[in-house]
Amino acid sequence: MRLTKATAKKKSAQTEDVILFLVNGCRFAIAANAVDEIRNLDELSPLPLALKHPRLSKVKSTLVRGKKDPDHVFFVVDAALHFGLKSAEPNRVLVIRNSSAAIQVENIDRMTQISTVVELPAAFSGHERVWYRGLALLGELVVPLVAPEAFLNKGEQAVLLASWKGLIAAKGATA
Amino acid sequence: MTRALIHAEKFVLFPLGKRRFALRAEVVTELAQPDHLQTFPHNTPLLSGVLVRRGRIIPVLDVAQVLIGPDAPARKFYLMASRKFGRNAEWTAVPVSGECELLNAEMVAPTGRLPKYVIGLLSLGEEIVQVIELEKLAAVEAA
Repeated sequence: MRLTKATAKKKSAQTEDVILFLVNGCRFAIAANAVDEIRNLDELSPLPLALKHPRLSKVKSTLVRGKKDPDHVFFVVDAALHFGLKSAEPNRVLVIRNSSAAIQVENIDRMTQISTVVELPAAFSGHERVWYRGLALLGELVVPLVAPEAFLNKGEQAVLLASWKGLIAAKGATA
Repeated sequence: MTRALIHAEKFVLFPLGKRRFALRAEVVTELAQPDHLQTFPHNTPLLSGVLVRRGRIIPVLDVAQVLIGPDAPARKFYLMASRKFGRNAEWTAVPVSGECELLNAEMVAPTGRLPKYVIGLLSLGEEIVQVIELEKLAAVEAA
């Protein structure tokens, strides 16, 4: 039974390079130009007790890239916790460009180009409106295109950085 | 008790297990064959994922959870309906458990104790069918 013709709207975007990554079996896309580096788990350090905040339990570790950027600390977000998924074994870390955030993910799928990004349907009204820039169509496959800034917003980064600086100052004072 | 007659109009009846419900025909666009439900993390109540139809992404609103509870039988088809969001309208796929029926009927106002998403009742022989408004149903669940 077909009553009327489809009228849904689609927003087209220019071709964009994206990195597809997996978190607990779910596939996500992130703009390639939002990622500074893809790393393994080396150089990750457990989050110091002084940096643990109840509302930021998704931040699991810190990363200081000794050779590349020794003065810059990255706070590593467990992407599974961010998206409310069960924790999966992380194997890779995506360092977010122009940010103090990095995300640990299960694995990298591949890099590809997307030409169609559809606005998240209005029916979605939860946290996903912050998490995603939209939905990418790869053929018939729908992949959420994540908003890099949503993993740690500026306020959250500021809180963590302040705690980090306090910790470093305290260490310096006792040294 | 005398129920206020609203007016005669077209409705699409859809089955969910042993019960049938109705949507105003004006909001229904088509009945679609089973499709590949795709899911991704979100926390909007009742949305079970999305379908891709003719290159369009359509959210799937699983109303059975509200209308008949967790023991709903497997849904076989998707009823495509239009939902309003402010001034805009958007397609929504409603999973149903069998063939749908288009009919002309007179809707009466709902009795007081029915949920707000029941906007009217259809009397079809011995069967009373609730007419559902998707916007109100989704809003009740989200509240």
